[in-house]
Amino acid sequence: MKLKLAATKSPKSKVDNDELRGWLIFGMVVLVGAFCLYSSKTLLSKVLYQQKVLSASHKASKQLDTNLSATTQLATQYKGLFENDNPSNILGGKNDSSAQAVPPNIDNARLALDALPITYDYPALIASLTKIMTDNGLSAPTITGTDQTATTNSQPTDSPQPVMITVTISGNGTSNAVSNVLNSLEKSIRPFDVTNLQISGTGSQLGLTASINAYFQPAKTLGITQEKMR
Amino acid sequence: MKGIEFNLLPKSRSDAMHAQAQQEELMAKALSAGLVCACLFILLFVYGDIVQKSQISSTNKSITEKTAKLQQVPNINTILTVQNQLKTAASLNQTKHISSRIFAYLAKLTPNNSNVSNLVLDFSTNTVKVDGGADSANTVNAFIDALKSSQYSSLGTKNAAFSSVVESSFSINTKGVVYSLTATFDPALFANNLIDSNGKIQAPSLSVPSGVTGRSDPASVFNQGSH
Repeated sequence: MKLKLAATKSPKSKVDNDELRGWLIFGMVVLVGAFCLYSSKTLLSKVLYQQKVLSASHKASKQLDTNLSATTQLATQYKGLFENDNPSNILGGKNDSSAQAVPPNIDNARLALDALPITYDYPALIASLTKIMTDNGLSAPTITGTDQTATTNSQPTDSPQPVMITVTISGNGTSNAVSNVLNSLEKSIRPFDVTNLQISGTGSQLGLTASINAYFQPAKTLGITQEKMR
Repeated sequence: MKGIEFNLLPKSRSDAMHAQAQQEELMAKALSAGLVCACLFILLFVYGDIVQKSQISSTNKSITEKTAKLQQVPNINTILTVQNQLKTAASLNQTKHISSRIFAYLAKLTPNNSNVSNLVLDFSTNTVKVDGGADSANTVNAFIDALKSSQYSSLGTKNAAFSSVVESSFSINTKGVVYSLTATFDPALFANNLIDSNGKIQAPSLSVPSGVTGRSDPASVFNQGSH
């Protein structure tokens, strides 16, 4: 007689096993689903961020297209107006682009840079104002101000702003001389803004004192900046 | 005739079948949900890690190329500087004050029998201070009236030129009277940004009511012997 040692599965045990396997599969599905859902959440924020980056990149690319087209046009216009072979400049002087040339016989680009210098250059400002006063017959010309060369930044930047230089001029002269000095300041290609004016005296000898704002603006550079997207 | 159904299954078997059906339904739902999650994951992965990354890389390459092209334009910094200086200079010229107009204004406003010995124009407060002498108090009053009633016209509009006219000091001496007047002026009188339809800068025109006698020579305003 042979003994059968392995227990035969009862129908109830088979049902239990099926149920267990079912629950195991269910658990795995839930686990995988939860992983996918959680990862999807992370991926979604990544996708949204990248979409933002893409949108900004497209905008930058379009802006670069516009800038390229504008720059080409600007370069052509610059050549036509500032690097032309016209014998005279826009003021009627000789169009001379050599380094030794002196106003008014300079080229148009230098005229523009004389109108608003790119460096502080206090001595040059004093020389200009002295010349305006003496040329118009003002005697004893005096200029009061502080040379701030050491503390003023004239470095080129991609978004330069005009920097104010305040000086006070004074001198003596006839009514015509005083009037002519003021007219010359107003007609100068370099903007001089009189902020306070005092005229005193009588007859042919008047005293003029004027507070003046002059300006310079550092050179501009092509500014290409990188923006960090958040 | 409706047939009669007999449920001959034992209750335990019936409960087991019901539980199995519920389990299968739950499993089906879980599988569907899992499948949706997996699909979503795959879609987002493919779009985010393959499609978008390739698009970003391509756009970045294009930006780098265009930037290099822009930087290679000859004299670009000089061109930009000249353009910027011209733009700012034009703007600064428009905001500056045309102080020389004071001579023409004074000539119209100062009565014949008076003079000015000191004039202070302050453009930060828009005030003018006039010190001088006159033959009589009536002449000084005429000067005050002229300041109060004068108007300027510019670009088709007429406005009062001076306000808050005050005689800050007055004294009589052997030669006549010495006066000091202060007034607030309309900044448009000295503005350089009044531009007409043709694009030309317009200077305001000052008008003084009849009865006040002005002068033709602005220089004579400062002559001590003019009254």
